[in-house]
Amino acid sequence: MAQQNIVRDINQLNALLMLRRGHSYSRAQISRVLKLTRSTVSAIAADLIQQGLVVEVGTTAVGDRGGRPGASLALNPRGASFLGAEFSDDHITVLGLGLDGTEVVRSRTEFKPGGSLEPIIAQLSRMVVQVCAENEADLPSLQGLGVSVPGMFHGDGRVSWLPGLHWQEFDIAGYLEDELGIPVMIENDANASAMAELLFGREDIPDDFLYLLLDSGVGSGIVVNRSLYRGGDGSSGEVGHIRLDPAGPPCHRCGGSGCFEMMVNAEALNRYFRRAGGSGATPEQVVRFARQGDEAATIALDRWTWWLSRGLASLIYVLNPGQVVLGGAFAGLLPDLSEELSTRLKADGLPPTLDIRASSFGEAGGAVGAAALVYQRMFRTPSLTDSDVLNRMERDIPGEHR
Amino acid sequence: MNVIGVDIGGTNARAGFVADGQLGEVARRFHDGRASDNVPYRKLLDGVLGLVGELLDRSVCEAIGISVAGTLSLDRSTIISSSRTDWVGKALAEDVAAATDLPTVMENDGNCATWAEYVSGVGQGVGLFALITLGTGVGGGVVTGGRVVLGSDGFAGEFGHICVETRAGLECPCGASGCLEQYASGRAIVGRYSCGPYGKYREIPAPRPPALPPGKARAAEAQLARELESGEPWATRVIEDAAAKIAIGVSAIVRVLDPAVIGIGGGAARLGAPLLTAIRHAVRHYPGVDARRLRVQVELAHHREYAGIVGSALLAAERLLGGRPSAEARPKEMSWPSKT
Repeated sequence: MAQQNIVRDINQLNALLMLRRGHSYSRAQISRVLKLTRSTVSAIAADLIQQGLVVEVGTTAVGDRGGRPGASLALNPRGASFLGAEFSDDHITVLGLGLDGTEVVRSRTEFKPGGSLEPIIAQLSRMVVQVCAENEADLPSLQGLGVSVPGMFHGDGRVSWLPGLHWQEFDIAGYLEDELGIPVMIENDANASAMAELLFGREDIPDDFLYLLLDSGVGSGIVVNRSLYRGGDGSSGEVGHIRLDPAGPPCHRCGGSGCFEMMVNAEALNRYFRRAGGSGATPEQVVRFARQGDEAATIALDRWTWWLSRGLASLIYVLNPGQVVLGGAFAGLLPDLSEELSTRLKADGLPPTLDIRASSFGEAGGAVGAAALVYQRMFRTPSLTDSDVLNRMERDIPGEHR
Repeated sequence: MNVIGVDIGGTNARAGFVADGQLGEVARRFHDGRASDNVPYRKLLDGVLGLVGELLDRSVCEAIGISVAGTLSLDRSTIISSSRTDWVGKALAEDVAAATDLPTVMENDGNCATWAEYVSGVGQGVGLFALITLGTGVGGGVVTGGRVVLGSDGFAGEFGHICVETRAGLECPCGASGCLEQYASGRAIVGRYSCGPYGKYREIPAPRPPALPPGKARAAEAQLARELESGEPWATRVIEDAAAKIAIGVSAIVRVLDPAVIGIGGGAARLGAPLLTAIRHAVRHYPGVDARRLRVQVELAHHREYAGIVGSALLAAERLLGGRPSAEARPKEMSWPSKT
């Protein structure tokens, strides 16, 4: 299926942006925020409705000052769809998002680790075909596939490092585009997860933040002014192998020892727990035991947060992001912990002004983020950010407007 | 265009001219402030105005830049932290501007030195550049896309607080332990050297060496430099250990910023080639597979003692006279190799 240029002009784009987080606004509100005449907005609305991107939702916008009450406009979740996929050496997840960013389909496969890259990508391709075939009705106007990759790239898209998997010079995007016939974007998993936070996470996500992906590995995605910061050769953010403890456990991925990811991944928490006298437990269990007052679990958690603070200290003093978002496999634990974690991290020496939050997404953050990249490409020249909309709304339209 | 740069450092204050936006004649005038920690603000202001006054007797100038060893508010108007407690909360640039009737700006010393290197040193034409300064403390700055990066709270480039030691790390006034500043400042290096290879100073992690009075510190540094040249084992060892810590800092900077060039500046850069060689060696042999760090070029800064004067003057010219902001909170996306 060919990709159409489905958004025709900047005003349409801005109108869609206003509606992006699933909000509904009246034509009057849109005209006020975008500073367009009512008739222009009516024309835009008619166009977008005709294209199937926007629908009338029929309720009066609350808080609208004066004028006739009118139907509100909202994104048509079925106006377009986006696929996202993520993989590691032991699983593949494929999911689909509607135009309003909600998930419409998800599929996951697990397999034994120890494989190499090409067969995994081939299987990913087959999963995408299957998902599309079985869910055709839920994936209208498919815009493309984003793939979240647990590795790094050169500026031209070639894989430069992919720990845990045997890889050669393999063009993931090229292979998938050939097989699937839709546009494919690839992105590092931490970067993709950061994009998920930015586009579909908390409404108050700032324009600049550092996202730290804590999983079996550790990676970071840096967002500056609502775009990913990639660094000189596209490899900014590979922070998992900063060496923190020369006497620490060896890392099979980088050949060093005591690197950041060896000190804060799930195995690490388990290791601290065993050393403190506990027995084998999942991270969730250790956290639960700590909340119940178990001494070994508390010691383990203290040790884990201390190492996290040391690793973070190495990152934040370079570019000084306003906010740090913690996500990954630990994300399931973190909403419980985030305030406590923030307090502990600052007690361990991080600056008191640093804002530390938990991710809005669990394990599939990478896949959501990869889909988000395709989604973002549709809104490729935003001149309006969420905060612009919110600020103008608050100024011009008092009262409830969400 | 003549601009005055003022450098308020850890232990003294100096000023000079920078002419025509380029490093022209730097007129030197030293005013040794007291080395003690509690210089009252009034005394600082009088000292700065005295320096500026002497220079203005010689020539006119159009703007003043002040390099301050401390943290400034994000809008650069106010000193918000400094080892001199009486300076906190003071709007030094505003006071100098009011007294001299000349537009005046302040900037953190690490950022000034970084800007000096970017405009006329090892950072020229480098789209993504960082400088690590090794002086009384450890600081530095980041330049992306022709702008100094301030960061969300103004502490971008504060490389001194990168964590480099997690086994019995030395306490840092910032509240953490094991910060780079505790191991790689000029003070830390010379201090450990002067303790000699005895007892607990012999191995890393070493305890904090005692602080030396300025005269003894200068003498020890001179001796360290001489012994480095002749390859004396203890001097070499001290520098290698410090270089290993600096390499950890370089690694963190590479992984976050991914710059093409990292400069090494500040007073300790006076140690010259042996220091650079040691750092390059440590970066190259940083444990683990990581081709990226091998690509970064590590260079000694061109500007040494005058980095603060030159940098602050150039920033003032840029901001006040060029009409162009030279610093902003956010880094710019740049890929390398690229020339700005």
